Amino acid sequence: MTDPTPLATPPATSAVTLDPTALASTLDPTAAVSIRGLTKHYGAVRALDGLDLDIPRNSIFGIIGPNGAGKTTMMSIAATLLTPTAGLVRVMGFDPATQAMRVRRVMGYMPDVMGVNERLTVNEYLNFYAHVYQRPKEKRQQITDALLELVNLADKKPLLVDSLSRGMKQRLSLARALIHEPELLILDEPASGLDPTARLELRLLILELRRMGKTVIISSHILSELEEMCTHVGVIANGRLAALDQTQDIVGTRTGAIKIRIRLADGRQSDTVVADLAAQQALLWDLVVNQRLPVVEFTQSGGGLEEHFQTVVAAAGPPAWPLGTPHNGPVFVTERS
Amino acid sequence: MDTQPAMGKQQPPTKRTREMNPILARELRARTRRPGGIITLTLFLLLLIGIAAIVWSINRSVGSSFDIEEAANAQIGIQIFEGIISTMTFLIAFIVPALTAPAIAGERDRQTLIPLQVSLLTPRQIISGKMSAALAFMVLLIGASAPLLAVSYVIGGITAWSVVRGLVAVLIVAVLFGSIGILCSSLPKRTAPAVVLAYGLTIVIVFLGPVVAALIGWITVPGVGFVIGYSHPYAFVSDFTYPKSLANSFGPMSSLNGTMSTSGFPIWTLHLAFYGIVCFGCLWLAAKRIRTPAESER
Repeated sequence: MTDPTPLATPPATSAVTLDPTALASTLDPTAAVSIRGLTKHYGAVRALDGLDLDIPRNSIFGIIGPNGAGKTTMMSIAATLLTPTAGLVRVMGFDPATQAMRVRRVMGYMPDVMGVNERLTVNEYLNFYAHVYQRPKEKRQQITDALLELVNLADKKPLLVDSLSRGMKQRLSLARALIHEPELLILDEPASGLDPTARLELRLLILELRRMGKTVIISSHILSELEEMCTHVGVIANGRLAALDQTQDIVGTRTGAIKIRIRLADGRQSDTVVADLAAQQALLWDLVVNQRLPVVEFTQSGGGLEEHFQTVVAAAGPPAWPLGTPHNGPVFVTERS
Repeated sequence: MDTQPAMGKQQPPTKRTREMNPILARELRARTRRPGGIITLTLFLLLLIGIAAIVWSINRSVGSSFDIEEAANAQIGIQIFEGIISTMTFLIAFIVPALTAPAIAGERDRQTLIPLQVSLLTPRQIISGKMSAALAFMVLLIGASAPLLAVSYVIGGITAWSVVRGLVAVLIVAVLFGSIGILCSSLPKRTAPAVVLAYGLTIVIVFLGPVVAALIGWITVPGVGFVIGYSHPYAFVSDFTYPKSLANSFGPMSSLNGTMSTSGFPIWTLHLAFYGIVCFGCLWLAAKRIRTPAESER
């Protein structure tokens, strides 16, 4: 969460009351994605209902909302897969409804599921997409190698795609979305179904992409998935933007201080209040790695502690608690407010 | 993890050397890794060899009554040629849907169509890649059977030109059924209904067409029966290859075959035009089906 661009709330619009010319004049030309009055109906169902949003360039923009809120619909429209019922969208200055090919040249899209790619190796898979995206033939292998290095799959090159774990597939899918060096990446729930280690790897990768100057839009229905990597978060509910702010503000609004209760194998118990996620991780690191205490139970308000614990353990290496004790690992309890 | 030097900034597309369709290249690579292809090829050839052997053994016994051995051999050559071409046409009509019906529906099923749809590939390129991949295998099957057809040429009664025309005719039938299969593949969202639809249409064309032609032609309207009957793929293969061969095996069409060709108008050109329209229509509709709504700019 470094140096996020301050957000200005886009002017509220209504597709019904504003004509397209007036709507177009409110679009932000500097934004990676600018949306005004976006409406999408599926029959009687209103998936999007006058959504207004500006996504700054070189940001990691998290879109959060419950299932059915309209996240995927919004992303599909930006990715040229759907056309809106009403409203305007500009992706890197292009209209996805009428300039689909131009948008596709500057945008990489990663759907939530990678799909099954029978009998193609990791190397062939990326080479195929390099061909699809018209990369020069003589450079395709070089590009593939560089991307596999980037997503830490270089040693998996000769393996069949379908033999990879879900986390590896997600990283490969991300590499595919990057094959034509898009300025904008649209990632639809990339962390769903991933274990904590794979999430951590994906998070680091996305942060690296931002460092490379790319804009990343990422959706999830779990705020804790986004809060550690996003510079901005927009909350969508009922097809409209319900909240828009920099991530720490959204997280702070939601949780306030985080309360953790830790119970050890010898029965000792402590309640600790930590201010932020970094403090949370530092506490865990101290208990698990430095003190090597056999932790039996974590209880945390707001959730997400199990993931932090797994991350700490993954980084520390061997189990932190003495092997052979009656306890094989901690129990995680989440108290959600 | 800095990939910038290797990847560089993408240049706008310039005039490039002509390359194989990426879908075709991928399909060919994947197909070589499936055991199904080689098994199909083996069974296909074994069946044709079996047909040739049966025709040969039957005609050898009949052929003994011929006084002139050369004429008998010519008759055997013609019979083997017709037997193989007929069987090939039948087999191709039922193999092609298995290759084309899962083409698009399978991508949907495996959830791999969306990455292609949001890529720089046009729907036309996706469809033509899928169609070419199916046809490439058909060319392999048909090409592999060429030596068998050449046997009839060696025995006599058939010219080398007829052999070539026969193979081309079967290939055109493969394109027809392939196009229908691709259309069927693009209609439903799952593979199973696409396969059922493709085979259903194939059965209607191969089996019900002649029956309907016979009923309509003989009982009610001869002109309509003629058109339906003569649009049958067997009639095309017959006319394109060897005007007096296959149609003799099909009652309703035998009297029609050659009727128009004697007037100097090659009827297979009508076939080609009709099949061309059907194929183009099927492929166009299939491409339309996989277009995303936001592709009007193309």
